Amino acid sequence: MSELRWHPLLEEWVTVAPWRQDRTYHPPASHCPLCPTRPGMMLTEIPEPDYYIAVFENRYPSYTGEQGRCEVVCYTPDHDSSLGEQSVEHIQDLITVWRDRTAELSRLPNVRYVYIFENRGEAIGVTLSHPHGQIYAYPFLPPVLERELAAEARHMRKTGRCLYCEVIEGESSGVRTVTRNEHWIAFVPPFARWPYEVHIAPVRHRGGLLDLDGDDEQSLAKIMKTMLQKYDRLFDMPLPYVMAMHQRPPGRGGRHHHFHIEFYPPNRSKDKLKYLAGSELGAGAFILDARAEDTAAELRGR
Amino acid sequence: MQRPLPDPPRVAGREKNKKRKLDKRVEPKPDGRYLIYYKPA
Repeated sequence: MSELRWHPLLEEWVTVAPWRQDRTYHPPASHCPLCPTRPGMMLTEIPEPDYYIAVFENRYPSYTGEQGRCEVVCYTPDHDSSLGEQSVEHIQDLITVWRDRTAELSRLPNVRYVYIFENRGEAIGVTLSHPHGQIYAYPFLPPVLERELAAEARHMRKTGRCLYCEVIEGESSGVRTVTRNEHWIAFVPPFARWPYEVHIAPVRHRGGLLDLDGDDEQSLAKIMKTMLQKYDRLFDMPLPYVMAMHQRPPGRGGRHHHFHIEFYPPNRSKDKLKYLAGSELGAGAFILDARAEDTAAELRGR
Repeated sequence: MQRPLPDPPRVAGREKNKKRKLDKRVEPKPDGRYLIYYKPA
């Protein structure tokens, strides 16, 4: 089990899991643990010779047992593919999987938050290049979500309105919109902290994956594919990113929350990365050398 | 006296997309962890 240590100055938990130091680190493709087990080849995490989408408990978990869960979601058996290269139907099936895992992990007794995310690319620190995401079922509300939910609750008390619905209304001019469809908008928020940060959000108020209907899910799959293709066309290379799903927490605590997916690519150009340094890490103050209006226009044109 | 406007034409309700269904198979791993296979139903 991990050790949870309280940071008294920041009032947040730090999770200590020393065994994660031994996790698999950049294996060659022939030894990828997320590929299916091909006949005559080494046994991987997935013993079948083929699969469609597979989920398993992380071998090097940050949370397990009574603390929570850490799962790995293998998007496809194709080692050299990516999320954005999947068909709309496949992405919609992946959304179904994310929804199923959210429902199941939310029912675990000590789980306070189910967080779906993907780290893509070596620049982000990915140790396995096979297309996959992860799910953390935390035994506490992670600090970013805690701040976001508190801001939403304060705004609701003050105005009677959803804070994020107002953020989306602020995008009516389209100047920061990258793409949109009937149900979803993808935009660079005016408060972006990364040059090519994008939020994908439902136009109508939804709290999380469990609140989406079939139309929402199909449209989400479409806009995710469009957005990810734009990312890869931006610099003509697979763009590294962190994908972070901000859903409402289990139970009644986050009833004012507006579901959205945040993407943070670390690139500020094809060959330059934005590093979190003195101001960002030491003071928590992001400095951005790009305007959301300009980067949105760049992405829109891809 | 003006003639009353006709009723607007009836628009058939658009068929809502249904959620996609997946078959789900859970298998225990030898070390006690679980593995779940999903595929289109």
